[in-house]
Amino acid sequence: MSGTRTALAATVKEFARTPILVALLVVLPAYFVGLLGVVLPDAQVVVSIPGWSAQSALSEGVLPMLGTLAAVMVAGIAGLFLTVDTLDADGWLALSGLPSRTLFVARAAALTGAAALASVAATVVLALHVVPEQPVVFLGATLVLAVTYGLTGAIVGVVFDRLAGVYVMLFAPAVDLFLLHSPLATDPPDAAVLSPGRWAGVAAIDAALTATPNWSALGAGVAYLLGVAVVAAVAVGYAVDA
Amino acid sequence: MPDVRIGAAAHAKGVVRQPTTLAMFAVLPPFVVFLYGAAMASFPDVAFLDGSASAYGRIGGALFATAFLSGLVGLFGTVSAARADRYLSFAGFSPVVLFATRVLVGVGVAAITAAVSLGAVAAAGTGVASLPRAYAVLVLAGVLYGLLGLVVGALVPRELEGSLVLVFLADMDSFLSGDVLQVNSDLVNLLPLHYPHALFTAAVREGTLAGEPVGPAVAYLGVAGVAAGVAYAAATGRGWSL
Amino acid sequence: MPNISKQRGEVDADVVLAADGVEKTYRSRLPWVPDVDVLSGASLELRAGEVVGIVGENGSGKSTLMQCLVGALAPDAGTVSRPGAVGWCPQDDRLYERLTVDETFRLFGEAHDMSEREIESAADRLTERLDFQRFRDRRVDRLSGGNRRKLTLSVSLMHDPDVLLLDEPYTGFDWETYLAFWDLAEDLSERGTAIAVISHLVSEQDRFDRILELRDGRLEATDDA
Repeated sequence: MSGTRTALAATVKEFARTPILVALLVVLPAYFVGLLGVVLPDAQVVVSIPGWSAQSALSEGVLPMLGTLAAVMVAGIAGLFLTVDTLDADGWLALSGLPSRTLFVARAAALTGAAALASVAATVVLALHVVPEQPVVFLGATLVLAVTYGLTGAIVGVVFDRLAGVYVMLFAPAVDLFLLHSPLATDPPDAAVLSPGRWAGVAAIDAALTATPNWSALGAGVAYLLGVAVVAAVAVGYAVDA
Repeated sequence: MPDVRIGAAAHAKGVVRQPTTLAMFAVLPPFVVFLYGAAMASFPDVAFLDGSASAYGRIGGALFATAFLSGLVGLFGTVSAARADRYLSFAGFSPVVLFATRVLVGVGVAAITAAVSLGAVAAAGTGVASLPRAYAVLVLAGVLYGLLGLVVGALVPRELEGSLVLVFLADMDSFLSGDVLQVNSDLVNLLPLHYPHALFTAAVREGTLAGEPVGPAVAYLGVAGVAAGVAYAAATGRGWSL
Repeated sequence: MPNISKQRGEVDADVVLAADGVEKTYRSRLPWVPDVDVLSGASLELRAGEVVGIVGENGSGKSTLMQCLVGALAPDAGTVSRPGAVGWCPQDDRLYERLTVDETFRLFGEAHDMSEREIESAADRLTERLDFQRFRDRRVDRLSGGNRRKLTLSVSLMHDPDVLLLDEPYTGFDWETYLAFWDLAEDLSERGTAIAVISHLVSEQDRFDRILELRDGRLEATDDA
């Protein structure tokens, strides 16, 4: 465990010692949700999630999804760079004897911390406009989805170069949450069940809009996260050891 | 102007001589156009839409795919080459010429991406009433975001932090300028893609730009150009001299 | 730690690293860009306590060879056996930019499975030996190029390896540190550590037991000290 602890401490120091990055983790989701909370109109729309549908003000219906999306975008980009920025040094560290899975666990833990920061910032600012029905479950589901996308960012970072990776991580969460699983959408394509937003994303929106948690969606979201974590561990380990 | 030619060629090679970048130009924009079209099909009775929701999605997808790819190229080009450009200007290259070459390469990137994106829209079955006008607007959007990417890269000269800033600007822009959320606010007029979105929709649907905000779009481009020039001078640290 | 006295000229000293017929080609992903053949059957043996210089033109494949020897790159053909612990000082400083010198020692020492006391002792010893102890609390991105190199070198040998592979180890060293490096190398060699140095500065040939030249993808002996 001491290897993991040391690697985690090193990872946190390596990335947290850039004040602008830490600030952006909080400020960007806050600006995103805050600004949208101000400009979204109160027009009445029909919002729906699997198994539930109701009339709601547009801001109340859509802003929670946008809050989750903000945390997810931060985590996705952070996960990408957390992986690719130190590949050379990681490779040397692995050659020196630190198992790449130990390094991966440390990186995943640091990424979870970053995702948590962004998720809390987004949720707090969201609550200034719209208080989720179940704020703790909303925060938890948002965090699960954010970490899922963070690890997806790590995979994307290994497969693509930085520029292409950012491009993918810019569109993937937006299409997933803003389009496929938007509360304004009623009939997503069948293939949408393959996207992470169908599970933890739906759980987050459900927790924001209804009084009954969608535990099955959240559980599936956690399972999805674990699956992505396995793939990310393999991909990152391959890149580090290559 | 041989030095502009030489500089533009050198910068262009820096962009093109990466296999994943080339693949990205060819594959990602059509993928985004397809995804947006498929995802928007799940928005049924959205009152503000004229015509097919999928077509609307493809229109937005083509615009965003072109703009954001150009923006990322502008950002990464500025961040990665700031030191080299500074060194070039010490070696005698005029900063004005260096900036011009960067803009030229940005125009080239926008031109290629616009062609690919527009081709994807047509191939997906969405009729484009005026190809030249639609193409011109896409190129304008790409150049605009390329200049914005340059500004972000100069202000936040690190890839991770710059990517976060650009992604959050781009996503906010895409959500609000595309009218999916039907936001009525003066803020929307300030978003970079607000006018290009209206112009592109008109060019695709009606085949004309008459009565559309061409002037404001071009003016916005001019402002972005000036901002990019100032930012570039700051990034290379040489000020402006002929 | 091996306690093998240096045995110059004796052929049956322990072989601590052996490479046989190593080949490596950098393949291009684009069809119109040619592949680059770098190594075409490079072979060598390193024995305990010897100091070997590896020279060659720019682009001859010296760093590629070293990466194959240490296991950072998989060769396309040939074998590399490393019966002992290996330390590698890469040509480029592969450090974590925002960690301090001490934190870097701690991280890499942990990777080498060293205890806290061993890490502290190695850090004390090496920073003093290479004269950068006053920078121990400084972040890597705020070190000069020479001090980054000292740190990279120190990390590569902090665990007392049986064989040290050094790629341009003294780039950016001042003269005193350059001499300190060779003092250290001599001590290590006398304790039985085999050292291979890629360098362009092999004018001081008496420091080396052997000098090998990498030419056309193969290693050839040029001189024995």
